[in-house]
Amino acid sequence: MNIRTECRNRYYRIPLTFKLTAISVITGIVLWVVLDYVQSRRIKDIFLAQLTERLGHQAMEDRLRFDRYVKVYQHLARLSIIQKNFSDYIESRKWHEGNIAGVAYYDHPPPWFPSRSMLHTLASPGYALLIDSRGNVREAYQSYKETLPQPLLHPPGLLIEKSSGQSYLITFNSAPFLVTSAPYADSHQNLLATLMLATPIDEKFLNASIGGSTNRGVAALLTPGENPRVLTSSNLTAIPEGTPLDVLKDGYLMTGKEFFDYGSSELVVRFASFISMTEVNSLTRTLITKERRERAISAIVFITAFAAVTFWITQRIQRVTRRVADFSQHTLGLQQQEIQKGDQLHILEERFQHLTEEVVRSREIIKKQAEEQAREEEAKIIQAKLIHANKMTSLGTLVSGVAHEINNPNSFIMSNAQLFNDIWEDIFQVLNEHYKKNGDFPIGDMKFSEIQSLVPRLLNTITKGTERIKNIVDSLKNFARADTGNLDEKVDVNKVVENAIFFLNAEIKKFTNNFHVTCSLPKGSLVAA
Amino acid sequence: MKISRRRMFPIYFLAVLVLFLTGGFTGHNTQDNAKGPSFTDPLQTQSMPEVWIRQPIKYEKSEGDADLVLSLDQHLYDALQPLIQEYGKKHKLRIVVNEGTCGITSGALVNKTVDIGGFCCPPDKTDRLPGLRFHTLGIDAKALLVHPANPVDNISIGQARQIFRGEIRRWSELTTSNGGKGPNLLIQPVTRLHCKLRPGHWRLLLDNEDMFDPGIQDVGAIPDMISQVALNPGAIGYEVLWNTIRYKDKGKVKAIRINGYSPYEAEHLISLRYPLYRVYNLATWEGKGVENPRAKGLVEYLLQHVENLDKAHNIIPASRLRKAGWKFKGNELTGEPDAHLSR
Repeated sequence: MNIRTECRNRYYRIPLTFKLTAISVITGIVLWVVLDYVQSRRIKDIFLAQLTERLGHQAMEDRLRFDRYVKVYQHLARLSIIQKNFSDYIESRKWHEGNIAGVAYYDHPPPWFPSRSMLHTLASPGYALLIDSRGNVREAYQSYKETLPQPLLHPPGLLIEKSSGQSYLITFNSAPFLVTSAPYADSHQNLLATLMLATPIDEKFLNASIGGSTNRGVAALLTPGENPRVLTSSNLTAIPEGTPLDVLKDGYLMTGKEFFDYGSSELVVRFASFISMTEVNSLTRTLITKERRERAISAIVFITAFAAVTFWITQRIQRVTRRVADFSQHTLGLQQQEIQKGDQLHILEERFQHLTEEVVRSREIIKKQAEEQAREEEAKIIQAKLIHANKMTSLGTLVSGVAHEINNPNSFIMSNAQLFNDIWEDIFQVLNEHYKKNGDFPIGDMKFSEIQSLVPRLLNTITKGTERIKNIVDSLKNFARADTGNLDEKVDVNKVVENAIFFLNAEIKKFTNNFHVTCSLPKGSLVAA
Repeated sequence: MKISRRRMFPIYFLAVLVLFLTGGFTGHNTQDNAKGPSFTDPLQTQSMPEVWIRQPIKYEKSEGDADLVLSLDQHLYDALQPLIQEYGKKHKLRIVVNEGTCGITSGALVNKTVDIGGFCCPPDKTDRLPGLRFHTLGIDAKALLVHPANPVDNISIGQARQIFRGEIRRWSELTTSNGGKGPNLLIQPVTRLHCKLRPGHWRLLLDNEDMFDPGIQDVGAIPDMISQVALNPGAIGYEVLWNTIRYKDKGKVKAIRINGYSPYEAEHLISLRYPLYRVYNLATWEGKGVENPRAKGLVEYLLQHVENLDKAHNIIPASRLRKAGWKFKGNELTGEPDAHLSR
């Protein structure tokens, strides 16, 4: 026995339930690995797509919040100049009279500016400048420690005009700033002063603009161009200034690179929102872990159910195997081996194969026997036919011989009877002369007067008898003759019927005295065979 | 005293005639005082220090050895790129085109870092810098946009102004094309109050921010305008038609007719039967130290070929406006046609 057969035998010795359960477990594991890879990837993709969409909405919301926050500054400026304390303060100043002594700085909100509680509600500008009608900065409030940028200390007329009544975004020393101004005029529309608010667009600004929530992700301003960098962000610890966008691509999900289309801003920046991929990965991992747990439970339930069904099927197979064995043994009388343990399906297969072979073998035997019997019967029939044929041949020969033997004397009788008839006619003339002259005279035991009518009748009877003998002999000869005709010639049916009746006449008479035949065809008509 | 209907007919007729002549049916003339300026006086220029005037054009370092540098607003950036690239190839010029906004372009011109600036608004006095000349490419209809499910597809300019002023608050106060009432929805006006100092654009609807209802939703970016209108069934906003195509991924919106005229049909805008539009200008330098002959050549080429722009941009060339009686000073569009010519 080679190794292959040994392996196969061993394989067949393992119960079906165990094998199917093992196969389902292995399949389950392979499926698990494949599904884990595919599904996890898909979940991640879907999750990322959804997150990107959400981030898109968030970016839009962030932008809208930013827009609103930017505009708050222009409204703060306008609100500030209509306060009574502002107008009182400005109108009490005599800036047009004297020379500029220098800029008065405040680190707390000055009397002409709203209180901190109001600023807290609205916006908190880094700098608030009071500019006189000639464009000179007279007073400055700064909540930032940083020195007032030079363009703000001496603001160009164009800046004052462009920022008037709107939030103007501009760059000072590469740092983005928001500038807005509100002119204050007296009742005669004479410009007395301009309030200019300026604030750097930095981490604090971005944080305040998007609502300050830490779980909203990070909002950032990016420089334009092919290699954008972070100008500033709402979380400089996470996304510091100057970071190239390419560096952030791996660690962050980004969306919403849009212009500020204020039309009044010369700041060339794009607004973007970021969500840390760590957060994304953490969320994805949680989702995938949950998915795995659910998949594991499903797999266990499935395998258990499959094993139970397999067990039930193998029990049914075993029952069928036993029935096959019983049938083979009791109905077919086959000697069966003891039912082994192992692969139930294989055992059933073997049993069934054995039964099939037995059935095929039995069928072959029966078939052979039937053929033999048929052959024997056929041989008997052929033999009988041969005997009959021989008999018929002998009979034919005999009949031919007999007919010949009868025909010869019959021919003598016929010809002699004819001759004697002629003789009689001549003798009759002589005898009749004699009779007429001499009267009656005896011939034999009879008188001539009696004989003269009797002899022709006798001779006629002899002639008819010989003709009948001749007909019988001819018919016998015809019957016994071996005819190998093709039956393609025309036959006188009436003649055939007459012959048959002629032969069978004696037989017919045994059964009836009332036998009549009427031939409908005209006498002598021939019919194709 | 009982007056018969037949006797009252001339009175009714006169009353109707008066209403018609005064624009009472269109709500047009009564609202015109709400309309802001369409253009600024080209003679008014921004005074700049002498140092600035002497300052030559100096490109940003990132532009490298460019032969020409342009800063264009978003629409002109999309519309003119094919022509500019064609011109650059033909004349073997390295042309750098930066995408921006009117504000960014204005900033670049103030900083003298570009040869050509492209605006989607007529210039303000603060844009009219010494040495700068404006050339109008054409105009484009500013469409009123609503949610695509909104059955209202035509309003008068007066109704539009009332909506943005907060005087019409529900769509059911307006009628649909089949004469029925509009949906019983709160109207949410969405605005993008950009270029506040420049004339034209949204200021043709209402002159200034203070005329708008405090309940408006103001957005800062074009895609936000499209998405806000597309998201809210009660919203109404405005934008040029090209931006509804460019930002179609932000949502679907519907452009409605004003006074029965569609923003898609150029002749109605040329005749000002359709009243809202945007003006596209290019600005180039003239004078010693700032003039670039290549820039002049490119601007001339663009002005000549503006008719070849993709029809999706809906830009009506300046040449058609000239024929229709719009006022020009040099190449700059400076005024609408006289009333008898326009309507």
